[in-house]
Amino acid sequence: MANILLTNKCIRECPYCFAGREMAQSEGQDFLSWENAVYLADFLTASGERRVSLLGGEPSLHPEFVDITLYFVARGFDVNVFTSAIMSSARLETLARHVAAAPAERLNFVCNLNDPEQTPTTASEREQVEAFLARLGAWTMPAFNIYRPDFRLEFLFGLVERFGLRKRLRLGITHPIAGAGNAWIRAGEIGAVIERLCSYRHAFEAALIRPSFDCGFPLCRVVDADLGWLTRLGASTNFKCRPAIDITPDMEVYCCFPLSFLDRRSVFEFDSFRQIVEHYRKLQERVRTEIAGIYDECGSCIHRSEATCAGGGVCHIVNRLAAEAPATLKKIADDQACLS
Amino acid sequence: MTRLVCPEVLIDRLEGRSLCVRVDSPDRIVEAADRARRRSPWTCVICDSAVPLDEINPEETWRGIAIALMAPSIGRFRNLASRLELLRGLGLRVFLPGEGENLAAARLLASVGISVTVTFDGSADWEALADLMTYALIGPVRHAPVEPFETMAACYRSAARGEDWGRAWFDDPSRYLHLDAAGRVALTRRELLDGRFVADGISNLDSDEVKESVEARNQAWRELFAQDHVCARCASWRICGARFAASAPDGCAAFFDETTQIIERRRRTGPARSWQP
Repeated sequence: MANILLTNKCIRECPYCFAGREMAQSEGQDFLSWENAVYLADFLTASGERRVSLLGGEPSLHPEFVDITLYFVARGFDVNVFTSAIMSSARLETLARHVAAAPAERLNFVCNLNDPEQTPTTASEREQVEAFLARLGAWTMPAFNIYRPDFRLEFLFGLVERFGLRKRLRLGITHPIAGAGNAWIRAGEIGAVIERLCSYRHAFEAALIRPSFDCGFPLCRVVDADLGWLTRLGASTNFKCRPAIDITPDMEVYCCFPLSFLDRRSVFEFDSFRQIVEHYRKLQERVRTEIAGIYDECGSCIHRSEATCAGGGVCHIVNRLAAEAPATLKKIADDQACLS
Repeated sequence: MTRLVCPEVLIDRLEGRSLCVRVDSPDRIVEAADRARRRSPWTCVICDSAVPLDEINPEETWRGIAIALMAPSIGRFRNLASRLELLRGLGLRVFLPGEGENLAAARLLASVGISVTVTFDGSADWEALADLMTYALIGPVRHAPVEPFETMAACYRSAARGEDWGRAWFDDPSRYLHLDAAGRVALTRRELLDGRFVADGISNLDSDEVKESVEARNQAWRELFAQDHVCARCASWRICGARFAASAPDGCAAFFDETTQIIERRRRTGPARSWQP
C-alpha cells in the first residue's frame, strides 16, 4: 500500500516521531498538488493497487485535505488517513460534514494517540483530539506508538469505550531514525515490550479490541502462549518488514521514513507501483546482506530463512551501520544509485 | 444540418430547426429543454453559469437532457463528492476556461467520470495544455472524454488537412450558427459577442448571404497562404487549421506538433478505455 504524504508539516512534536528528520530537511513543496494527486490515483490504479494511506506530517494541514481524501475514495480506493486528530473546530466541522457522505467501509482514520501522562500535551490539544473522536469515532481506529518500555494502554481502552472507536488497535514499536535522535525501542527491550503488551490480555478481551501489529515485531520475542492468545483474539500479527513506500508532496519516493536518506527517487522514474516495491525490496535485501537481523541469532534463524519473520526492522540495521560502519552504508547507497 | 445556438427567447420562432438553447441559469435548463423538444429536433441546452460547478445543484429532472454547462471553475471537490453519481448519470459536459487551476480541475473531473471540455485561445499556457492533452488522449487509466482533444483526434487526418475540431466548442460555422436575442446571426460565439453579424434577422437564416459567409469562412485558410502568414508555414497546420492565426500566438506550434505525435501514437496503441461506473 502506498503512503502519500499530503504535507511535510506537523502540529505535534512527538518524541518518537518517524518523520521528524524528513520534515526538518524538507525543501520541496509543502503540499501535494491536485495534478500529482490525480497522477498518483492513476498510477496506483494502473498498478492494481486499491488501498492508499494519506499521511504527513499531519495530513489535515493540507488546505484541501478533505477534498483529496474524498477524491481518493471517489476513485475507488480504500483510504487510511493517519492523523493526530488535532485540528480546529472549523476544520473538524467541515471534515465531519463531508465524511458522513463517504462509505464507512472505505475510509478509516488511524488516530495516533499519545498517553496524556507519559507524553504530555496541552489541554487545548487534548480537547481537540476528544472533539475529533466525539465526531468521527465510528470512523476511527486508534493507534499507539510504543517508545518506552514502561508504556501504558489503559487510557486507550477508555477512549475506545467512550467514543465508540473501531475495535482494532494499531500498535507500533518505534524505530530508530539514523541521526534524528528520536526515542525508540532498543532490540534488547522488545521482548519486555511484547510481554508488557500481552499483560493487557484481559483488557483486550473485555473490550473486544484486537491488536494489529505494525512492522518490525520479531517473532522470537513472542512466547508461544501469547502467540496463541493473539491468534484466538483475532489479532493481526505481523513479523515482517516490507517497504512502506512513502511518496512526498513533490513526488519523491523512498522505502520508508527511516530509510529515506538511502535511496530517494522520483515516482516518475517508475512504470508501476510494483516496480517501486521491488526496487526498495532489493534495498532491504542489500542491507540485510551486511547484517541479517536485529539479533545475532537472526542469521541462522529458520523463521527468517522461511520468511515467517524478517528479523526485526531493517531500520535498526541501518541505524547500526550508520553508527558503526558508515562506509558500508555509503557503499549500499552508491550501489542503489547505480540501479536503474 | 446546421444547428442554431440561440437564446431561450427564440425557441418559438425557430420551430423545426435543430437548436442548442442557451440559458443563463441552471434553473432554466428543464423548461428550456421541454419547450425546445416540443418544437424542434432539439439538440442540447447550453447553460452559462456564473458560479462554480460545486455551487450548482444538479437535478434528477436533468436526466435525458444533453447539457453543456459552462462554469468558471469547479469549486471545491468536497462539495461535488456526494453528487458524483448523479453527475455521471446525466448527459452533462462541463466546460471550463482552460487556464490556471482549471487545467488540473479538468483532469480531476475526467478522472471521476465526468465529461469535460476546456476552452482556450491563442494566449493559452500551451505547456500545461499539452500535459492535459496527453492525459486526455493516452492517459493510462480509464477516464471520461476531455475535449477538445478527442475531437482533435477524430478530425485529424495523417495525409490531408483535417476537419474543423472547433465543433467541440460549438465553434464551426458549417455546423453551428449563433443567434442573439434579436435573431441576428453570427458565425461564432466570439463574433456574436463582438457584434459581428452576417445576417440581421431570422428571416435571413437561409439566405445566400449567410451561406456565402459560411463558405467564405470555411475557405479562409487559403488566404493565409496567399498572405504568406506564419501559420501557413507551420508544420502543425494540418491539425490546428490556423485557428489562432489572428492572435499571433506563441507556443501553439509546439503544442499542436506534440498533439499530432500523441494522436499518431494513440492510433498505434489504442486509447485508454472510457470511464465506466
